[in-house]
Amino acid sequence: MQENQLIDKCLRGDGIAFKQLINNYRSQLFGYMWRYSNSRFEAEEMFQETLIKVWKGLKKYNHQQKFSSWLFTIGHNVAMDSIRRRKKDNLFSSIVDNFEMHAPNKPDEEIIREEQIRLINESVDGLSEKQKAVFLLRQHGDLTFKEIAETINEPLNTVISHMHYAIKKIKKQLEVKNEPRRKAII
Amino acid sequence: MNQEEKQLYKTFEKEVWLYLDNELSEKRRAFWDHKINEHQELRNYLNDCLDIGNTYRSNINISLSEDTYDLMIEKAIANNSFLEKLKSFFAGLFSSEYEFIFGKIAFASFLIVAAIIISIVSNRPNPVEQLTNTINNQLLEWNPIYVDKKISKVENLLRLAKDDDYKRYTKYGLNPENVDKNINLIGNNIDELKKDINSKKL
Repeated sequence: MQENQLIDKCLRGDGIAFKQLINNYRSQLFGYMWRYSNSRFEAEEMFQETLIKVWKGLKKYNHQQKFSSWLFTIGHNVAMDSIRRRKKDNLFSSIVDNFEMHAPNKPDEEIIREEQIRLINESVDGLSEKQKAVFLLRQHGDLTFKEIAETINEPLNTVISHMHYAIKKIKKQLEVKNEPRRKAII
Repeated sequence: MNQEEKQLYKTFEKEVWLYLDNELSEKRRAFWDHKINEHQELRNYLNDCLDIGNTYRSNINISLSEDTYDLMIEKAIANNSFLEKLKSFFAGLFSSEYEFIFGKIAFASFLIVAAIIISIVSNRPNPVEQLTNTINNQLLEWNPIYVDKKISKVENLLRLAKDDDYKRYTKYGLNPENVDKNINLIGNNIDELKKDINSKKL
């Protein structure tokens, strides 16, 4: 069933249609929230709040806009508010999940790839709020930069600039952390 | 890298994402295709942008369990207010998927119920006025003959007051018929006395 048909059904109070509608973006949105907050628990709360806002706000949804873009705008705003509250309350500072997934007896290539991923994740955590949001929206939401600009309500050039610096920082971090390994191999 | 290349590289940094999103004009895109082929630095930067993204995405396997997701959906829907549910219900009635006739009936019923409620609420009489009217009506209904007689009596009195009979009536407590009767009676008595006197001659 097409997205617009699902939305129409949702507007008539069809919960199953709502489940189907969100299901297409569930992993992307939840992944974005988890990576943005670094906490599964907090990501679940954000996701729940986003679902409530989307369900209530569907009547205001403009069909001309891409649904994923609209959904991520709500999700991003919820995430931002949550992070702001966290900073204020300083409640979750110690609850940071670890994304490491080392398993024993894996081939070297796999271990190196996982190490790269771990390093990228660490680098992403070191980005500024805006850079992190732009980078994660691009990767998880699969949004174009025009859509990201609308989502975070920033000019297109600023968003591209955030991405440029994010890539630059991540690349630098990877080079710095890979240097000892390279030296050890030599 | 000379000054011109540096400038080209900086411009590419700004436009690379629009290039990847296919947001550039065909002419501009062709320009960058050409430059990317020409310059290793540009290729490296483009590859960095793509590689970091691809490596990161290869590990996006974070997901919610089906049960948790179901619970969240239920909670989101249950969070809807009664008013919104009602609105959705009525919106649904007029959708193409439902029988339109059912919608008409439901709508007509709704209008009737609304009209009854409005009439009950808006035409409520003043309770004090209602009580006064009830008392007056009750008084009239209790003894209408008595009131009627009173009115007739007042009318007679007014009529009598217009002629001289009233004076006689008030003076002697008699009406003209009674006076005539009494006069006739006296006349009769005089006649009988005369007859009686004539029969008993000395």
